[in-house]
Amino acid sequence: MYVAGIDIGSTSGEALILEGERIVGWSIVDTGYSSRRAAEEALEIALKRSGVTRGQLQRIVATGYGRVSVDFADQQVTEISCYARGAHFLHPQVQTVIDIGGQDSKVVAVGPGGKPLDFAMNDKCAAGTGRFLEVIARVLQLELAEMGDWALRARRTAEISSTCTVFAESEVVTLVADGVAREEIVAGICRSIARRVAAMAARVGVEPPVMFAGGVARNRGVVHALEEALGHPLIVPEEPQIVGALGAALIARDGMDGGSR
Amino acid sequence: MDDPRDIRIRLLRGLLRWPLGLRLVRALLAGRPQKPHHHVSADFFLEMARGAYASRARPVVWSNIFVPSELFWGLEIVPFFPETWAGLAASMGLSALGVSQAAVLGYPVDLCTVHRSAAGLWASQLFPRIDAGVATSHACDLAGQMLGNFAYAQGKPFFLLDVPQSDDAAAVDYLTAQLERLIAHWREVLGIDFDPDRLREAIRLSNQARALALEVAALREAEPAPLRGSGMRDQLAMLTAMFGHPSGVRYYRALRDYTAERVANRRPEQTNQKVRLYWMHLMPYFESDLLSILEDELGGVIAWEEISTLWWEELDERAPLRSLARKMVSLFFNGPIQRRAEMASRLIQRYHCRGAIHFSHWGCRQSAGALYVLRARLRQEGVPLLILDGDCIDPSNLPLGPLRTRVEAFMEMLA
Repeated sequence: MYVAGIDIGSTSGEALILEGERIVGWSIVDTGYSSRRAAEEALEIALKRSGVTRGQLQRIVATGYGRVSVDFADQQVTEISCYARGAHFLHPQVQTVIDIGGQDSKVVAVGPGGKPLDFAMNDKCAAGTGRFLEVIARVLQLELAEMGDWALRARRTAEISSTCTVFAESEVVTLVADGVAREEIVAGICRSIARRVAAMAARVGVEPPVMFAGGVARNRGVVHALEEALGHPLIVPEEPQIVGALGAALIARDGMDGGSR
Repeated sequence: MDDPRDIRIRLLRGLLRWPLGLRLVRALLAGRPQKPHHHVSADFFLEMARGAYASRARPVVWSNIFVPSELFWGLEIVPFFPETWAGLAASMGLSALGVSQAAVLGYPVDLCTVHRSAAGLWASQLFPRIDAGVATSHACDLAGQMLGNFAYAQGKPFFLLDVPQSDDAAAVDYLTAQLERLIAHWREVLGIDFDPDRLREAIRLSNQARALALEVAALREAEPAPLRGSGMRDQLAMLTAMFGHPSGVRYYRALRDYTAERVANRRPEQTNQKVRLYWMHLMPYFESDLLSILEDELGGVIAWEEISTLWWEELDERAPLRSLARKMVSLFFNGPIQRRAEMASRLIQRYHCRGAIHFSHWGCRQSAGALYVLRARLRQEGVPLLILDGDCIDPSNLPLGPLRTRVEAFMEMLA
């Protein structure tokens, strides 16, 4: 019996095919202008990689900010529930999950069985999200993927005082003009994101073990800064971007008791 | 509707000031199918508007909502509440006008939109004449400053009631003395007579309305909930304007009868209630999908809302001013935050609520500033709290997508 979870975020969309406890395939695509089109594309790629046909899917659950556009899904569930469920499946001891995506970030307290107990979200401001890193990468003429390594090379960390992406960009331009090393600026940016997310996490209450998911979890500089800010080591899954889609697929599997499609 | 020279604004101005205009609105509203208590409240506010805009028979005093309304009705003064009218304007889709005009006046965008909108509506000449201004210092410090600005800008006298944070006898004595001075001040600047019997009558009417409102509160304990919180967003206006006026008695009698009938005869929509909730602070005054997502789509029901809570003891007509002073200091927004947290805890139990939602209205520090204590108190009792950042006046500051995710996630959590 196959089920699918689809997570449509503001920057990327993921689809994941599950058979029982086994992940049989997944995909990541850019969301682009159409959430529905991204969902279709992500699902088709994941199905192809899994060797499963659309007709074999028993149930589909959509999540993420674009979930309401996925009209072919059997159910829509928020990313809060899906991240909690996905994180619990990967590491049943996890009590807190932090997700930093392209344009939002969230912290979820995870209870028994992967049920969310509390949560906090930032989706109003680009600071503390992947977009912040993208903007600064452009200013520093770096590839996004290499920023983490740059941050870890820094001997000192530049102070980025601003909590606003636009103002931080100006601040970075000033630091560059002052001759501050790029790695120090990148480390400062990672710390700025980490402090902001750690403050949000404190509102929920950080209980270890803590999982770090979402695209920004691939950035080792942010992982390091966030571990320092939280005072806890972080569990980063092998594929941090698919935790939401995995949670959605697990909820789809749970929903099979209610009947197939 | 942004331009104050807009023909619709001119029409509205004319309608408010033309003696027959408000009677026309009243006749039109009377013909519309409405709940009985809404007929009473519409009549009451139109009558108040007529007194403020289209009649010169009585003095008009602009006030914040926490000056006891019994005082106005007992002294035969027409009160005008800019905060309430900002809410009313929002419900009529006029928020953008008020907010944009406030920017022209130089009010910064991080101020509360209720007061910014009020300032903008005043600048657009949509407010009536003013003979004097009054405000209290408690609950909301911006209100006192805004009312002071209005009075100053129009060259009218202004009186600030300094409300102590404590509710002990000394605090009540202190405030009672100020109320006496306020009456003396009004007699002087407005030329009104003070008839103690008339004030006692207002106190009697207030107590009658209070007894009926308490009956409504008791009826709302029923499961399924007979009323939906989304239909009660005007309650703060009722609690702060109607008491002491005969309409208050009529309104709460009609609401009591309506609620009792719904307890006795359930409606189909009441069967969809899955999770009972306690709502803290204000709700959007304009038409917003937020509350319908919560109550229609997701099966939540706001079983009780903080702003409907009758916070004061029965008033004593033998000592009216002292009673009103006690009413003011005992407001749940006044004094230590623990008082409000205690009340939340008590009401959550009384109305069998499984979760609470705090709507953090833009720029309102007096409520959101208490969140740490409120959350800690509710957490102790195992009651999840959802904090929604939004705006009860300005729809452009209430993005539905993010709010939908939060509300849905909260309901998934409680399911």
